[in-house]
Amino acid sequence: MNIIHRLTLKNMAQNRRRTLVTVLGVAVSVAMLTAVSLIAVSFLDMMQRTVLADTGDWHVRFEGVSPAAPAAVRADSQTGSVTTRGLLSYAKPPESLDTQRPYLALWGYDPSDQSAARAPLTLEEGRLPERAGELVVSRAFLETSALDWQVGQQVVLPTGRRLVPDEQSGELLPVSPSSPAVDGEQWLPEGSERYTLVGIGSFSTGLEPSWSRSYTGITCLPDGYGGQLEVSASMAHLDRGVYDWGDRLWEQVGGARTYNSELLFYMGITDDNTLYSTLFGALAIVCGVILVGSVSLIYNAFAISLAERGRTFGMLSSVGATRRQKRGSVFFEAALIGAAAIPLGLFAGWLGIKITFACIGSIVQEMFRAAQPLRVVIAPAAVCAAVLLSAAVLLLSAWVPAQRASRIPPIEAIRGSRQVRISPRQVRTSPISRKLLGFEGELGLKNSKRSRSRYLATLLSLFVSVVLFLTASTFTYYMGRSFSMTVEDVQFDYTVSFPYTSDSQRDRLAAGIQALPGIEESACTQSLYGQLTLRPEQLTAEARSAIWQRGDGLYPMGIQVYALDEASLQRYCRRAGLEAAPLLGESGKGILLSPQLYRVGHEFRELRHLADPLGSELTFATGEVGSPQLRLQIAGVSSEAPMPVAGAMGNSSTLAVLVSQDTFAGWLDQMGTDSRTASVMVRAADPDLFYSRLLQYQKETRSEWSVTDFTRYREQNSQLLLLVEVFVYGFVALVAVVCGANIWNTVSTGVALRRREFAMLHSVGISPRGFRRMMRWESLSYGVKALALGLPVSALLALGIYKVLEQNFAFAFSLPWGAYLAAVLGVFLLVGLPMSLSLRKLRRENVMDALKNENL
Amino acid sequence: MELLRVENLCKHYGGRETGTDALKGVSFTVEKGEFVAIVGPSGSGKSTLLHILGGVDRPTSGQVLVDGADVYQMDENALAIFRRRQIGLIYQFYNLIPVLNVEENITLPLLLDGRKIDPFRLQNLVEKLGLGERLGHLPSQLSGGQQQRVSIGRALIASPALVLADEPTGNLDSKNSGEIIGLLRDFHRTLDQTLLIITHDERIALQADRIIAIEDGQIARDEVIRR
Repeated sequence: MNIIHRLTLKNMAQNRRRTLVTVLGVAVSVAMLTAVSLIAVSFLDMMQRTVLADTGDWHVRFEGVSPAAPAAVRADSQTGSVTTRGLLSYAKPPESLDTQRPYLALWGYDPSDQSAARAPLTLEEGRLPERAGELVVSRAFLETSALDWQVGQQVVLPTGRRLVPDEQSGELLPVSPSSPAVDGEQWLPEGSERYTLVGIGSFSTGLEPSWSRSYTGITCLPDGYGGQLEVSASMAHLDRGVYDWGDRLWEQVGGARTYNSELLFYMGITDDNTLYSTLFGALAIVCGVILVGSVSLIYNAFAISLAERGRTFGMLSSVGATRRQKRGSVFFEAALIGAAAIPLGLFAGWLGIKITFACIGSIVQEMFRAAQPLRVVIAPAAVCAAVLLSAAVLLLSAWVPAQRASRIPPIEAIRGSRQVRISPRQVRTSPISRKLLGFEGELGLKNSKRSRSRYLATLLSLFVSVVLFLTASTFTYYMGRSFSMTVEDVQFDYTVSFPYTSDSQRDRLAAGIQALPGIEESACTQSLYGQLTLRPEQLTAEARSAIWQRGDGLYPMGIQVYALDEASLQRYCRRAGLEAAPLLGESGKGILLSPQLYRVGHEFRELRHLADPLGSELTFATGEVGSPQLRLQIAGVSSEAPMPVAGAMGNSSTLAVLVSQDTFAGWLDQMGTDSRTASVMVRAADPDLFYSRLLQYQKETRSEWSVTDFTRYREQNSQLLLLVEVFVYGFVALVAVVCGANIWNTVSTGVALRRREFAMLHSVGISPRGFRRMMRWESLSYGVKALALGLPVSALLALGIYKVLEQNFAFAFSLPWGAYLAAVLGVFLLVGLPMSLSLRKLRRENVMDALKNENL
Repeated sequence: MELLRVENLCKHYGGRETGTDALKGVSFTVEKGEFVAIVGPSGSGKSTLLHILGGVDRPTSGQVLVDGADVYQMDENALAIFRRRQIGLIYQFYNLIPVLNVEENITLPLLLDGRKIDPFRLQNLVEKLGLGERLGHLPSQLSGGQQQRVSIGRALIASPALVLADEPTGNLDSKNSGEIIGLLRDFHRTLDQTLLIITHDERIALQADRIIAIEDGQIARDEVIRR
């Protein structure tokens, strides 16, 4: 080790605190980068596995092709595996009790290439079919059809065709196994087949679609099968050429071509999806925040180290150190810090994600409706990228200070004249400031402008920290909001419904349940669903774009009406800040619940339907034959959902309205019916205790009802929300630590470097009060400037993040004001505190010693 | 034999009109083994002259030739190596590196040069400097006089052609001042070391072979007082 290295080491050891802060700062950013890369890769892995398990491993599929097609596909040099199957016929098991799904689609897989092994199913019993006449069915089929088939059993299945008339020509066409129920479907029996059941498994939705009218049976293609086939192929080495390859094959084999676009999407081949752009947009924001934070922290650490060692460098060069030697010192420091921090950060990032996934893996899985669990996947390329990125950040951060170190002319370092090249214009303050702040205050303001490089470094560090902290907070705030949109808000513990009781008995029981002790809140509710049509001008623009418009220009919509008992309605109105009186009795008036939240695929949208709802009159009817037109006036609008509605996420073309029980009863009279389901919803202080009381009451009254227990669901939801908060605030906390360390480092070193100047002020008789005043104005000047720049920039960035997330989660734009307040307070605290602490340390020093500044 | 030749040295600070001329065409030569004191009032330009001779500050115009080599024709790298091998600088405020111990501070020019340290030479030097017991100490553990001895050691360890001292006793009491000057004279005599010293102190100046007085950036007097 040469003298420069030794000197660097000794300097680092002497400034242990700063070295440690730098190492930790680098480690935290490496950990965060590692974590981000692990999250991204693991998430894609989860989704890939989910799609693979659902659809099977194929990239392109040709339907309705000739028996010669598999060989042609296999002959292509880029083809990997090929799965061949054909729909032999439908079977209609006579003993099946499932009237909704009475069919079994019999798929024959090619036994010559183990095609059945690639079907997306998990065998629970037995084995896969190896020859024609062997059959594997799903456990779901056996259970819902109430069939008691055993592996090894022989079954005789009546087979035939399902046909549906074409809307235009009336010609009978075959029904696809994946199509949902169609009107006018006909069953054309063709004979029967004997099969041996060789296995039972659980089939994926891709193999056995839940919306279909048939289940799936898997067998083998008979020898010499000459019917149409379905050939699914995967590319041997998947790349962006997959579409060329698929198209080339398609030209040869014909038929209907489908790409497994979802799988290709998660493999990163396609990118035309909002989820992808949200995910990568969010990742880019997080990485950006981390990178900016790390560069700022590390750059500052080196800049500070350099400022402290400026005279050392000058001295070294006066005894003959070359530029390379001086530069080498900074790079050596960077290398040492990297050597310690990068492995530490990698480990911490991996561990953090391991723990995070253990805690919130199931939530993420739920959020994205993935069937496969989230697990930590280490992609060597991603880890290498994190390491390289961190090393680049370190190098970049050290580069400028290193160049600057190499250029320090010895004479300036010896004279200590580096920081004082200023013109009077640079330190000019307005004449008012002296009057306003006094001489010391003005001196403080001048000081903050005096050394341009130090001033800029401090300001930059404050500014970056403010922006970083606020961006992280905004991001997590939006993530939290997005997540809470995915979790349904159920406000009650139990729902008791009375399907088989008369009106009078039901009212009696409902009142009895609501009178049980231990209830925090309860509501008795009835509901009905109606239909109405609205004119375009009645709807908002966003509603018009979301709802289907009929040919006559009107918009057909649904309306869900909830009736609340009087007490519950009054309680609700109080909470929502509405007047209850106009609603009570048979008023025909209701409260529109708006805006409402809807889920469309992966997206969540908050939608306002009616353009001018207050006072508007709606006419609707239940869909039943001869049902009268019912009239409803909107007397209030609230976004707050009452107990029965909360958690019932509707669809975008349905209004939700709340009315009194009397209004509801009046409508039932008009319809000449009283048969609406009613239920009592209860939130209890002690749900378990209440449940035992409920059972007791049921026994006493010998009544029949059904109870739905929501306590577990509520508990789970609140735990999930808590975990998400822990996770997201963990990120904010980490960023806040990085920012805090950064500011602390900058400010306290800035003070330490000015000890000579402070001693001079003391020696000319500045009073402690005046000195404090000077420092306070200096801090204030830094804080105000950093905030004046940082707050608007953060708000702009927040808008950017909002725009990214808005693609999937629609909510109104707002800022996390709490975080903004924390940033304002934090900046002044973090500027003021290290300054006063360093000053206290300086105060203990002898003025003359500091003035002489004998030893560097 | 001529060791140092200074020709028409000028140094201008600040802007063209508003700045000041610290040196206005200074020329002189120094023979090998000569002991020269440079005297003058504050702001006369003597420290500037010394820094330019030492290769740590650049002149606005003029030439400095050490052993025939034009110092300011050298690039940065060559100049650094020149400083390391040919010049020994002693400052008023010692300018030691606080995290290096006495031995490391003294041998710094050799260490920077990647040269082997001759233990006999080092031993000899520290004994003469009276620092034999202090080699492992850090500068902060030494008195002012001891710190200045370390900086003398550092200036001499590489056997430079020229030792330049800028008010070496300016920060010391009279007892220590006497000792430091005694040491410098001693090295000058025993090692035939060429020595240029800036001082305010007339008693120190009178111990030199020659006194150059600088006033307002120009040589006002150049007297040989001893041969």
